[in-house]
Amino acid sequence: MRMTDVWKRDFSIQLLECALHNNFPCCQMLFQKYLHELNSSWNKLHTTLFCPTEIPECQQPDDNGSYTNVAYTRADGATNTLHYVYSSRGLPTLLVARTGLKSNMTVDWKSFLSSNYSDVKNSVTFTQKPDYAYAVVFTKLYEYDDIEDTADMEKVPANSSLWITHELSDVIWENSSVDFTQRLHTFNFSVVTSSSSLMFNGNGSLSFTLTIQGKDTRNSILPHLAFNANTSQFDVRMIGLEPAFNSSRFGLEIHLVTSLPEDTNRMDIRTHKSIDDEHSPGTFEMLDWTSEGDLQMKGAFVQWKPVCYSQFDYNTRSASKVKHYDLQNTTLALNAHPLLLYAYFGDSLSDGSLGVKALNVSYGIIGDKFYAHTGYTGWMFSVGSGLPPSDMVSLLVILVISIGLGIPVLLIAFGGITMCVKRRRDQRDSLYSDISSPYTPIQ
Amino acid sequence: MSEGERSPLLGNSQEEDRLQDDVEVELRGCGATAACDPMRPYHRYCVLFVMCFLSFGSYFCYDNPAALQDRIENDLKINTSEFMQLYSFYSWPNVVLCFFGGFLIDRVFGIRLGAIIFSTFVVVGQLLFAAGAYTGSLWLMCAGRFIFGIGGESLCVGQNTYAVSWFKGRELNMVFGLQLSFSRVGSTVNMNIMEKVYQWVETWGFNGHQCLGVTLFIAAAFCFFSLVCALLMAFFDKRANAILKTDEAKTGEVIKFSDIKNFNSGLWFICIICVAYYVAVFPFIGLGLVFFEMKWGYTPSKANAVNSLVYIISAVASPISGFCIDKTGKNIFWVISGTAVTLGCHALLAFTFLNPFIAMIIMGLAYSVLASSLWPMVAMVIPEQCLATAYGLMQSVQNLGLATISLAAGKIVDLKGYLILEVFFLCWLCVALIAEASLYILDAARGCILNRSAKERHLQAEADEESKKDH
Repeated sequence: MRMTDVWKRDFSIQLLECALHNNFPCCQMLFQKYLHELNSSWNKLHTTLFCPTEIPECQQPDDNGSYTNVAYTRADGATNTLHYVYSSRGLPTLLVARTGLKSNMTVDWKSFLSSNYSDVKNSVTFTQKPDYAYAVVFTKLYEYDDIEDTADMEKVPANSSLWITHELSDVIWENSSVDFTQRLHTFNFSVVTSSSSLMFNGNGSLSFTLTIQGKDTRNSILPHLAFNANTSQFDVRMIGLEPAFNSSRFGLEIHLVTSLPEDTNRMDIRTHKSIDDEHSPGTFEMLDWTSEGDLQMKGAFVQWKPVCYSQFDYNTRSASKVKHYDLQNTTLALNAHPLLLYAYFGDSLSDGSLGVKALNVSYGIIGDKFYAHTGYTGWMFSVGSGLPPSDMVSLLVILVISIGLGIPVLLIAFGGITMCVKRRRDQRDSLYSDISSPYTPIQ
Repeated sequence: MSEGERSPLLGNSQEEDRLQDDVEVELRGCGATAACDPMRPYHRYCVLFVMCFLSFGSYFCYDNPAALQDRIENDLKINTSEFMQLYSFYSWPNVVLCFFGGFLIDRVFGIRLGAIIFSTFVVVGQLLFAAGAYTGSLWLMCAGRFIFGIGGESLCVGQNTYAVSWFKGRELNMVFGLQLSFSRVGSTVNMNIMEKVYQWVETWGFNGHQCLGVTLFIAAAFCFFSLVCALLMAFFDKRANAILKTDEAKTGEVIKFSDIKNFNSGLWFICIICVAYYVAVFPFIGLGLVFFEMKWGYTPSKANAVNSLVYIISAVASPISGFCIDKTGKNIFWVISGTAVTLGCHALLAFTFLNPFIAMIIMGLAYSVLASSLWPMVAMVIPEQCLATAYGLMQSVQNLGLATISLAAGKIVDLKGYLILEVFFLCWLCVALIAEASLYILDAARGCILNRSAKERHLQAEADEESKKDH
């Protein structure tokens, strides 16, 4: 079992902090987390289930022309299995459930795809009851008229003429594509659901791409977010959407749902600042939306950097800002169509036994001439359980700093000392030369 | 000279009076007044005023494209990379051209004719640039920028040479500081008024690239003004030499191409310092906007304010720091402290979240100290007949450094981010420090020519003056 240096360092720093504060439960919790990380530093991924071809509804669009996209992968770790289910049915949703090893997910397809919502309830089950589950749901796409060019949704009056809210449950989803390559212990799994409906006036598309790696690595796409065994990443892209206003900007509403209720599972957003931007040039902040969870690692997180890209070519010039707003208390009622959640959580979705909060983010930076200027927004974020990965200063940076600055400093110091010594010696020599005898007794 | 009132009241009048007694030529009329008498400091300050405006036009017009970037891109329907050609046609040829410009001043034209010729190039270049905009042809604009570049940078070399020939041993550091601040004022004025001029021209009924062309023709007026200054300088210089008889005192030695390899090794160290220091400041400012926006979360206008601090402060502080250096001497000491302080500022920006206004203000001060103490050092190590070549060489090396390091810096940011970029700049500053330390040691071994105090320098200047007359 391999554990990354990053995690080790992170762990030791946190342990030191706990020890310094004489906080025994904190140390204990850290050790448990440490053991957990040790056991799951990589996972074997299997894709075993898509919407089966025998079921006609899987291959054909529904009455609205929207396809049902369901994809499933399981990640077998040393002590447990993570089940990732991703579907655009109802709302685009990622459901992650953790069970013991050798358990499977079963779907009652007829019920799951039924247009009668009461049939949908509990149509997704697992052979072992999951000890923990969380879900990320995309609910709304906001479009607002940023006349004042503030790039801040809160500064735009809640005047209905300035806002359009696109409900993602109304979006018509295209048939998704699944792409995976298998290497040794590595598994790329990505699903694209995108929409092209009248709502988006023709060619525009909104897509969510999910990638699971099952090991510690970094995404090859900027801002190079870190993967660990328990994380997956979403790539959200808005390409060629036709803005309704002259100064349109977009925003997204995301729900995080955990199987622990809110009172044991406080959610908040933390900002980490770092001087090191080597992984995402020009971005010095990391945001973690965490649910605290308990000692059994039952916490979920959403992690992102406040950067999105306004052109297909991701670099510092095309970088733009992602602004987030305060978390909102909310529930996901059935009329919002969270069908995958309803299929797994059933009635507990509405009885308050789940932790649910919503986050709004908006894209764009003052003076970027709005979304229409480039017609592109691309944003990445990570979703996972346990500790969010943290960026540490890499060996490269340490090497560059120590060699690049160390050698000149040494040279200057060495040169300075040599000069001083030489000068002292010269002075002494001149002193001696003035005096005829080297042995002048000191009185 | 009506500018007499504006002249700062500096200088050692006792010494000047003594010099005046030695003069054999009798001056009459205006020539006898303080403002027109070449022996008096007042006259030098009047000339300084003209000298500073010598390259004002080229600095003003150099940044015309940046001030009108949106207009140029829209009116000519070009993208940003095509727009950037307007700058590369200026800067890349100057990697070698201003060296040859300096050599030509020394060898062929002499400084007076050289300055006039290069000012003419600036005027012609700007006119072609404007004509290209008026007709909407990008290639003509690029050709204009190329010719403008041939003139502009070599004119700076001429300006530096004038400064040395008029102020060596006196207020040279302050003069370099003042020239620096004029160049900054030139580009700042340009940045602030060109858009307004464009809008004003639009009200006359011009539009599109024709409006752009007319705007640029108006900007060419500054180049004409500089040409007039070049003519005036030629007149003053000739007159002063006639009165002081310095022309006859010259040894008649002319620089040969092979002299370059025999240049004082101090010059090469000064070139290394120049490149290593400047690449840590200007490419950083070029990439600074996003850095301040992202690291400190500033709005674009606030980030721009921080980013331009170095320019604004150096415009104000350079003459003052030059004045202080004149009073104290010890140029190497000032250069070393300027570099060390800049190093500290870059370290603050790289490794802390401390308010960047502090670091940038200090960096602006350090830059002005360095700029006004570094350039005059060339005059101390190089004989007068090779001076323009030496300044041309230094400017070429600086242009080469800035052009290549700017490209490298852009790549580093894209691949590895601002922390590594800052470390890269810190490394360059360390290189500058090492070169400065070496120069200090070299200079100490040669009898402290560069690190003399002001007092020693005055004595030396007087001695030189005497020996010239004895010839």
